[in-house]
Amino acid sequence: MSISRRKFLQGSVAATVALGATSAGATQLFSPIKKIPTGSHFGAFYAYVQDGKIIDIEPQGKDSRPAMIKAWIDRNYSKTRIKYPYVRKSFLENRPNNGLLRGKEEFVRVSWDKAVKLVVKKLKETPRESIYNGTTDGWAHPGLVNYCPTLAGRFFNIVKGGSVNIDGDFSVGAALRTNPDVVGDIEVYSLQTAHEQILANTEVYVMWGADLFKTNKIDFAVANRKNDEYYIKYRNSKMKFICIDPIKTETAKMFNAECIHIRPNTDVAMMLAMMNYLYNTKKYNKSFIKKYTDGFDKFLPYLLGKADGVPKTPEWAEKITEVPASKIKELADLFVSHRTLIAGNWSMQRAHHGEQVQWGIITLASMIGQIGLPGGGFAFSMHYGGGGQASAGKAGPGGFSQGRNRVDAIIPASRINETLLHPGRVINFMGSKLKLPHIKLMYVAGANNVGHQQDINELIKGLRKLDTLIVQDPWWTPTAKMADIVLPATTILERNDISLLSGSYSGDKIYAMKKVVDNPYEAKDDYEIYSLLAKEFGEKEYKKFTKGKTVMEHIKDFYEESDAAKTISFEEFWNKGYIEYQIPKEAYKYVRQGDFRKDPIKYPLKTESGKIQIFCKKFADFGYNDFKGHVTWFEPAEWLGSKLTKKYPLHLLSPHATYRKHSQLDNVWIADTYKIKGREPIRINPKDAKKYGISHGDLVEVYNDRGRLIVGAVVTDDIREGVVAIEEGTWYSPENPMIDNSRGNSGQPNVLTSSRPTSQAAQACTANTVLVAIKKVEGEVVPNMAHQLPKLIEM
Amino acid sequence: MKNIKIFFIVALFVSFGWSSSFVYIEKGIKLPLPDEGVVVYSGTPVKIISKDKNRVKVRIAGYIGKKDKKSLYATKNRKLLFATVKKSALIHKIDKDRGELKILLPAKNITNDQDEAWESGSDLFYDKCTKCHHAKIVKNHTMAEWNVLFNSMKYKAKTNKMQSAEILRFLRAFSKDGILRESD
Repeated sequence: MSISRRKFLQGSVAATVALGATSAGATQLFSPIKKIPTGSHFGAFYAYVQDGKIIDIEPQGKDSRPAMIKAWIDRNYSKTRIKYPYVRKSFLENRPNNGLLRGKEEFVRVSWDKAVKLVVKKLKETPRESIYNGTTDGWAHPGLVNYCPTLAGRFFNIVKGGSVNIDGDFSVGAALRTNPDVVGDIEVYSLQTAHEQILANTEVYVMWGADLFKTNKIDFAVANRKNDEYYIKYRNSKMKFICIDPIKTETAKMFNAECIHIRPNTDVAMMLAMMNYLYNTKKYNKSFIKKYTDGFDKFLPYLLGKADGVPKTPEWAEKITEVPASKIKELADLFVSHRTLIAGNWSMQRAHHGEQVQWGIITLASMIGQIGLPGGGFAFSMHYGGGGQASAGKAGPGGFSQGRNRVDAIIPASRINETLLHPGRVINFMGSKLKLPHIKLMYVAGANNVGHQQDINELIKGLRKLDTLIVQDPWWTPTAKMADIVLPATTILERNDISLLSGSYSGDKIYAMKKVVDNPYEAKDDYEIYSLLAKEFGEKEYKKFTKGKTVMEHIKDFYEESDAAKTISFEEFWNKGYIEYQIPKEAYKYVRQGDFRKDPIKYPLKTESGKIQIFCKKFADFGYNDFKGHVTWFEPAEWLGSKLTKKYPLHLLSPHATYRKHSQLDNVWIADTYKIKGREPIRINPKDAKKYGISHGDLVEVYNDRGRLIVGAVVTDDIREGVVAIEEGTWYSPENPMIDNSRGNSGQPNVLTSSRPTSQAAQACTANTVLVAIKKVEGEVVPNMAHQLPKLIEM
Repeated sequence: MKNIKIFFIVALFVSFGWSSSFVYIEKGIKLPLPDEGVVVYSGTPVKIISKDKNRVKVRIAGYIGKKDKKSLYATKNRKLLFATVKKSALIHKIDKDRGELKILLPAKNITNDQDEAWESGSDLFYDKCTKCHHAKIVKNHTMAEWNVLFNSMKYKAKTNKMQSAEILRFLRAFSKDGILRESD
């Protein structure tokens, strides 16, 4: 071990924090220091351990932004850890209507044996059609053995034959339901054109809502931060960057982009106006439309206003978007005359009528005619998981399978609240009717539903109607505080595991996620918890769940499924801590839709016509008034052009967090560097701040008909007038937990968002269609209690 | 709506004279029968005409390929293959769209158990496609939708060509516009 004690002490703030948390006795100076590799959504790292405590963390390989990795020390030793199993008091006492006390009362510590028996009793009592697997596809960590979504699904499918799941996801619910029929691929998780092709060919790079630098910090797999190196090349290239966004993003600043501060939720109007202009000036690519698309003739009457009397001209769009007509024309001219890549994002489709957004970009890109050319066309995942990195194309480790779920009932992600409050209701959904199930039991592992679900006040009312709410997590998250039974889970640093193939797109690394330290309390690994529950169901279920193997045997089995295992033994991999695949040279030449462009007959898209569906008959046949057969501008229920602005004049956006992964890392020291008086910041334009008498650093109340919350004001020109932004993910905390609809005291924006769906088609979430008002908080307020433990009654 | 779908599937079986027997192939999706000049596909529903210890004479009915008249498909969309023949004369027309084929199959390649006939594709799907997320309900999506969903995600599942073919065949057969429903 070459690293010295002195070097650690000279290291990071994190190291100081960790040392402060340990008892630095004199003997420690002579204790050996172990260097142990692992990986996380924030990147791969080595933990340095002395006397059973983590004293420092350093990234594996190059990482210019290691703060989130360093925060793992604080996270692991957080006071918010769940130490023992607990049961909510009145639930334990089986008092009538005790569900109404969720989130309001104390927890009683119980033994693991008692907790397991209680969980299994409730699961046995509840029909599988009434069990909601609330773990959904959460992002707890990238380890394959303890991966909560898979374990939860596997467990329910084995012991109950299934459970109710959500349909779609919270990130891209609208796009997932439209892109397949429009372009024959879901696109949002698909391999992107390689950075090398963009750097060599792209002249105009449009970031339509995409904040590449910010959101690529993290990954669904283990983040590799390689995009940071590419972004330096981007910045130094001759590419012109355009940022169409109400916010001047971190990436826009880095690339010195021209910013078009459009009104939120009006992007489709701007796209249509560009298309209208390109058509009327005959500048669009007619041959591309003819050869590669289907249904342009059915779209044209709408575009030109022959169908509805409203030509979608730049002048029309100016009134909606507040982007000058001259700028719309200028941009259309620029895009069509240069190799242009339009990098869309996901948050625009998390809005009312969000189905239209990516379809709009695809249709516009079709008229520009560069789809499938190197560095041209559209891209919907350049901001995610290292999008743009060339792929190794190798197989990663295996993992548990969930098996078949025999429950037919599903809940579209936006309809969770409605399901809990109005079971049995029938809704439209992608051309069919869907009956919402009657949920009695909800089980959440490694996810923070009282955070990622829109309209938290409505959600809490729904949660209080459940018979049973079980939460399994390492931390007392807001969801854990609402639970009846709380099961403490270990963190990734307290157990052995093996990572997903990482990063999500490069797929060139597998990491040994080694146990770094022991859990000092009674927390158990997620895998062990489900194994215990399966055992309580019966020996048959236990054997099926565990396959009769130990964790290390599973890890080895998973590794053996990878291509790496053909040449590198498991022992060698485990000792080294990672393996790396070479990226083939050919992968750097990858161009999305390149084959289709070269030969659309030989490589047709998997759409109805084999071409891009500018018009989709299937969608038209749904017969919905809020979702048509071609891209359409629909006025959102809440936007800056609506009458509601008289009451709520500001549009609230809740973009991804800069220093969190959703709710992860809200409970660490990094949060202290950006929170305002312990609350999440709200970005507000200086003109708005002046209008409402708000100064930088003030605590302000933001409110609408759905709720109220306190945040800290950050007055900045980085956001356009009329728009405010609170980053998603901070831990929800009510000012007074004892009353309903209490003012949010931490700044969790889903107190204000709506559970309104995108449309009757995708029924996806709409977190970015929100109007609010704002005022300065006067007088004293109670501290934010988000990271305080609930009252615990120890045995 | 549910009743209509079940009626549709029952109607398919009645109109084609399928019984509850299926082609079973232990490995892969194709069963070449060189003597017959026929290739039959796994899971294809058949009507047993006669049988002895080693062989079973079956009738396979389906939609004749639009361009190539040497293929029989499960449904009008011609996405799920039942059989291909060397000579189109082997397929006898039932009407302008549909045809039938009578062939001898090894007895070991016939099963009355639907689950057994489709086990390989089903197992592969629920194994390979549920490691990162839960499986979508197969009958909630059409054959065309499954074609997109599976092909979008298969590079993450890292399935080989044969596994992909088996999974897609299973998904098509049990899809919204497919011919079968998964057993409870």
